[in-house]
Order: sequence, then C-alpha cells, then structure tokens
Amino acid sequence: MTRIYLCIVSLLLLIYACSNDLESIGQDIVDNNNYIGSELVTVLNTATIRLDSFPTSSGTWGSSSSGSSVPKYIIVGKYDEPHGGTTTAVPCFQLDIPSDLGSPSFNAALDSAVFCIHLGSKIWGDTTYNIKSQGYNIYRLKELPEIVYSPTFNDYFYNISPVDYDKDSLIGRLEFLPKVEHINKAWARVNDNLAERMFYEMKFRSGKDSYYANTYAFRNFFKGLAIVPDETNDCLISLNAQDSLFMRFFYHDNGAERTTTFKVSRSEFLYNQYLTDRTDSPFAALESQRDEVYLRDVDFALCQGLSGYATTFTLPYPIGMPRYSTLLKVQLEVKVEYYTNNPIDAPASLYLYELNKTNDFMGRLQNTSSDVVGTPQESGGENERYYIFDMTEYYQNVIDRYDNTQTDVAIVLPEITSSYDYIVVKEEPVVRFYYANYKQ
Amino acid sequence: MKKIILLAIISLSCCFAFGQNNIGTPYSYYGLGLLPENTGAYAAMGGVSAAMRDNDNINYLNPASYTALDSNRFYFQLAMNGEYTWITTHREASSYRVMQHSYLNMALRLWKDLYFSFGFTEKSDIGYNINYNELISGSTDYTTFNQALQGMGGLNDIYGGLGWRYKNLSLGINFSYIFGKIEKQQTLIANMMSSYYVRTREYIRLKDMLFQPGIQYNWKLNSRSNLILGATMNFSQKLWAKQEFQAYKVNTGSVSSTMLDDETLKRGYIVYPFRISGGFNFQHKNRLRIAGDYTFQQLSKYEAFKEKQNLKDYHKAAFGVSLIPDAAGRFFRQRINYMAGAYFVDSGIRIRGLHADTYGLTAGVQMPFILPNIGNELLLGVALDAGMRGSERDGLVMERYIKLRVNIAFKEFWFMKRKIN
Repeated sequence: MTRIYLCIVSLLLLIYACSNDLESIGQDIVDNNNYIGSELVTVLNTATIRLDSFPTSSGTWGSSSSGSSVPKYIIVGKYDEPHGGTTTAVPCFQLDIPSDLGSPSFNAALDSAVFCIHLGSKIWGDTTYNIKSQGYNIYRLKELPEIVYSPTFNDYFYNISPVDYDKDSLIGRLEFLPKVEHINKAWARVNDNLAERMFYEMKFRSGKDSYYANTYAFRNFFKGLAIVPDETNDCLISLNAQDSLFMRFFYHDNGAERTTTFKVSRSEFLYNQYLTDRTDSPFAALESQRDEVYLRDVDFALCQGLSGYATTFTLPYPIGMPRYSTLLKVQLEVKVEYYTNNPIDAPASLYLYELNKTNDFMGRLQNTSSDVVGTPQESGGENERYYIFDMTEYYQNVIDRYDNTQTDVAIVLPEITSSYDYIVVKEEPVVRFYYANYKQ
Repeated sequence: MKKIILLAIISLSCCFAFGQNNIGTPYSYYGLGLLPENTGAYAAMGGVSAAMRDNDNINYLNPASYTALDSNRFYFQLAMNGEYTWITTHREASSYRVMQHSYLNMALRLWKDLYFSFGFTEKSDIGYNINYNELISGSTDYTTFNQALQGMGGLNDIYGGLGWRYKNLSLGINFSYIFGKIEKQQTLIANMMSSYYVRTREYIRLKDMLFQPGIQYNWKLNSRSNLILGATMNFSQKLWAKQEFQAYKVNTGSVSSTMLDDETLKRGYIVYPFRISGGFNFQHKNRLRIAGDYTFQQLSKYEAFKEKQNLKDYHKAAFGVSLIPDAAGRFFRQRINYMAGAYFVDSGIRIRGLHADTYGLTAGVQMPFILPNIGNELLLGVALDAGMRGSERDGLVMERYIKLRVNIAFKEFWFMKRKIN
C-alpha cells in the first residue's frame, strides 16, 4: 500500500511542479482597442513682454535682524545682446564699520587702501575667443539711497531705481580680463585723499561725534558705492557680495602690519540697477509691460533675466476627454535655440507665471502640490533643445473644475534678478497631451 | 490513518488548485472562456462520455451513467491536471505551465435503482496574461506604451444528479448551480518618466441553475458484446449576471492612485447555449471498449447582456478505445485498463475568419488497487493528452500542449450488511 500512496503523491507533486506561469503571447488575437495616444496643441499668441520693473533688493523685512542677510551676488557690467539690446548692470551698496575696527595709535601710518572683488556665480559674455579687458569705475554715491518704508512695496529698490553717484568722487578703478583667475586677483587702489581721511578718523575719532560712532553715522558719511562699467565693456559679471566684496586698509602701527576691512552692509541698501537699451532691437516697441511683440512678427520670443524679458502665450484648452479616457501626462514643450559655446547660458530651469489681462504676474502656475517647472531635455535637433514642463496635474485640475477660461502665462527665469541666462524661442510652444482610452 | 493522511493531502491540493489560474491561453478571451475539451473520467480515451458507464468511474458528464455504479459502495473521485504549453506566433514564442483541479465527485445509491452523485466541476476556464508594446499614436519621438491584459476566472459547477434505471434504459439529470466570474484586467502604461498609468478591472459575476438530463440504453448484441448508446444535453439557459467595472490611475512617481470609475455597467443575463452530446460505446467481453462521441453546442447563440459575440457553434468529436487484458488476472498488469483516444474540437472561435481548432491524442491507464479493508478499491488513472490548438496563420497563435492528468477514485463498501452464520 505504501507504494500506492507514494505513487499518488509523486504524481500530485509532478502536477504541482507546473507552477502557474502564465506569461503568454497573442495580442493579435485579442480584440482590444484600448490604447494610449497623444495629441499636440499649439499655444496661442506667443510673444515677448518686458517687465516694467522688478525688485533687486530684499527690503527692510527681507534683511535679517542680524544684518547678515546680504544677497549672495551682485551683477556688474555691460553686454550688447543681439536679441534683446544692450544691458548695463550697476550695483549699488553700502559698506559697514568693521567689527574689529580698533584704534590705531597716533603714529600709525597708512600704507594703502584697496577695493577687492571676487567672482560670484558666472560671467556672461565672450571669455574664450575675443577677450577684452573690462574696466569699472568705483564711485561714491551722492546720497544714501532713500528707503521708502511702505508695507505695500516692502521697501524694495528696483532694477530701475536710480544710482545717484558722484562722478567727481571716483575712488578707484578696476580693470581685468574676464577670466576667473583675473577677476579674483583684481583690486582697485582707493583714492588716497579718501583713504587718508578715513584712516585719520580711525586714529583720532572721539566719541559720538565720529562717523565711526555708529552704523547710521557711517552710512550718512560714506553714502555708498556704485561700480560703473565702461561703455566699451562686453561682459556681465556676477560678483560675490557676501564676503569677498570689500575695502581694505593696510597700515603700520608701531612697526606692525595691520589691516581693517569694510565689508558690504545689510541688504536693504544693496541693489542692482539694470537698464536695457532696446533701441536697435526688435523689442524697441516695448514701452510698458502691457506691450507685446509677437513671435510671428519677429520670428522669435525671448525670456531673459536682468533685462526683464518674458515669453508669454495663452495655454490651450485641454483636449476633449470622452468617457473612459484620462490624461496620463501633459507636457509643455518649448523649443529653443541652443549653442554649446554660446556666451550666454541656457537656464537650468524655468517657471511659468500666470498673467492677468494687463500682463501682471499673478503667481506661479501650480500642479497639485508643486510649481510647474520646465527643465531642459537633451532631445532636439542640431542647435536646438527642448524645455519640458510637466503640466499633468494642472490640466487634470482644469478638467475636474470644468474650467473654460484660457490662461495666459509667462515663462520666467527663476533667478530673474541675478542671472542673465536666456532662452530664445523660435517656434510656438506646444502642449502634448498623453491620454489613455482604457475602455471601448 | 493512511487514508486520512492521503485525503488530507488531496483536499489540501484541491484548495491550492482552486486558488490558481487554470489555463493560460489567449483563446480563453472569448465568450465564457475555454470550454472543456477533454475532461471526465475517460480523458485517456479522448474524453468520450455520452455512452460511457461502468462501476469504476463516476461519469458525471452523463447522469444516466450513475446507474452503472455498485449499489453497495460509496464512490469518491477527483482529478487534477498539469499542463505545459508551447505557444508560438509567426514571430514570437513563449510557453506557460499551469495546474488545475478538474473535478471532485461523489456517488452512492439512494434507493433501489435510483443513484445519486454530487460534486464540483468546471464549465469553462479563463486565463491569459498578455503583454505587448505599441507606439503611442501621435507620438513624434517613437514613445511606446505597454499594455498588459490579464484574464482569469471561469464558470464552476456544483451539481447534484440522479440516475434511474429501468431494465436496459437509464435516465438521469444533473441539477447544477453555475457560478463564477469572468475577469479582465488591463494595465496601460506609457514608457516615459513621470506619468500616470491606468489599471482597469472588468468582471462579470454570474450564477444560476442549469439542468442537464441524460439517457443511456444498453443494448445486448450477444452474450459477450453489448452496445451502449447515450446522449446528454442542456437547453439554452440564461444565467443571471452582473458586469462591474473599476478603473484607477496611478502616479508612477508618488504611487498615489486616483479612482476613475467604480460602477456597475450592466445587470442582465448571459446565455449558456444549448448543448447536446451523443455517442456509442461498444463493449466486448468486458475487456474491450470502443467508444465515440459527438458534442454540439450552439455557441453562435451566445449572448452577454443581449450582445452577441462573433462565435460560431462548438463541435467536438472524440474517439477512444480501452482494453483490460484480464480483469481477474493473476498479474497486476493484466488488470490494468489501457486506454487511448483522439479528439477534435472546433471551439467556435473565429478570428479574421480563421478557426482555432484543437486536435489531441490521448493515452493512459487505470490501475486498480485493492485496499487492505475488505473489498475497498482505489482506481488510479493516469492520462497523457498531447495536442495543439490554433495555428500560426494570419497572426493567430499556435499552442502545442501536453497534459498530465491524475484521476483518483475510491469505492468503499458502505452499505453492505454483514451476515453471521
């Protein structure tokens, strides 16, 4: 009997060895018409607008109480860009009394005072083939910039805020080739009269009458500095503003070499003026933010930091979604010019802002839980590249809301106040809808 | 004790078997699924059944055959299948393995010439898992999507049947409770970063009663030979059914899911079409059996929620022989029932006008064992079934399969009165 049972169990085990592995083929015989499809819809009215103004300082409230909230970079220089015109960047900032100012003895002797800079993030311009020396004059301001305290505007200075420097108060001049190693070694000798006067005050200051007595007094004395590029410059340079932009005094005190350093002051007085001369550019007609120059008229649209250009268009309605179909992915595809050795970089990401009818920015366009962000893709033909914006949730929300309004948006650089990166849009962007028809 | 252990193993194996997909053929996509092509106690004889009757096997496919069982025994019978299938098209090849429980039956005599059987069988099987890639329509960068189609389920049958004998005529009827589900799952996923994919699940639950009468007539040709003619059928029956549908989409990044649909699509019925099977069984000296069957099912009348499918009628022809050298022989090999057969099935499926027919050859043995308890018997049947289904023409699928079937039947004396002299 045992053999019988063994025989039965063996046969059962043999059958169990046929574990259920049901991977099969046969799609051609299954009558299944469900599929994933895609549809392209071109956006409407692609155009370029120019922001009337945008803040370039952090304001009183943006400046921390500790006084250390200095923007990381300031931009200086001038660049003649063939698409958007000539942009000039003039930074304006205050210096602070050093915490280690000390009291040089009466027989201390000033050796020199210099103004030093250090490269911040990047250089926009030709730094490889036709390098030209860049010159910058450092002027003292006529007056301490006036902060208008206003809860509405948050005490900002803007890119168009005047930089009122005194052309007779040149305190030094910088000249260097636009290379990292040259920039980081560049310095300007501070006007001897000013240096001697400030050093004398260090030695013989007395109590509350001295402008070294407190920050307020020093600011009112010193007013501030502006770095003004030469007309012949052809680079915009980002300088490190936090700890590498300073005026340093070298002196001997009883035979010992000493230094004292005046660094950049708090951020509410630090701002950048950006002026763009569009006279000879296709965008000369952009007088206000309401004005638009259409891509179809000039064959391109521009989005750029510092100069304030933004590319605008109207997003299309979502495609019709019949019963038993749903969006799987929606992406905005923006094809831009791309050259590997272009003097101006393409940005690493882009934002979409919602616009009202007068082209005011109403806030970033959002998916359900995050901003709509565009990132560059490697795909694309020669000298072109795509920025892809994932808008799946945005469009799904539009469908869910039965929203019939068309949304105007603008492509904007995330670092519009500190980056001259740009994209040149050569074709109307498209929105690609991927959808699934999951039941017949 | 051994019997208890054996029954426990068998019962456990049944539980596992019910929990799995039974087949893996894309041809089960159509209609109620793949109808049984070769089943029953005589699977080794090509699956003949209409005129088959003996006192060893419960031939649940024709209830009239219950009257051939021993009057004083209780019968217990079950069968399991293991299947290995090579599946090819003109450009692809694959294979699958499945196991399945085939049936579980019990039978006993109720009263004089009235016999009763009950059990669990399958009416149809659905099982496929198809994955393929297609280009996304409208895509300019050759992005593809993957579609996975899975089918599972089938119809089950819990039956209770009566057989009654009057002289050479036997009549019977099975009362079946048909239930089950036809489930189709689908996954649509685009081959791209950061997107959603869609999963759907459509299933039809159905249940209802089905009646299957049968008849057999035993015609004695001479003292050593007899001819049995048999037939069984069921009328077209509407099975109550409900079709439900669920769909949701899943974010590939966050894996969060959103329900798209959860609804009852239809309530109504599915037509289980008229089916009839007839056949003969020639027996000579209780040694040789030659049997043939023809089965017809009017699948062209199949309807699901008043919608017809592109099915044609089902036809099956089967032929089988069996030989027992000497049922009372001295040697074990003489007592074995050697069986062989063949069958042909036109499943009614038409794809682009082409048939998906099945051809099979079968062979097997039924080995009788006398258990230690007085008179109790165990019949161990082993059948091999090799065949092919479909073709590679015009994009169809050719399936070449080999099945191993184990049929175990116990019969015990339950109703014998002991006499003490």
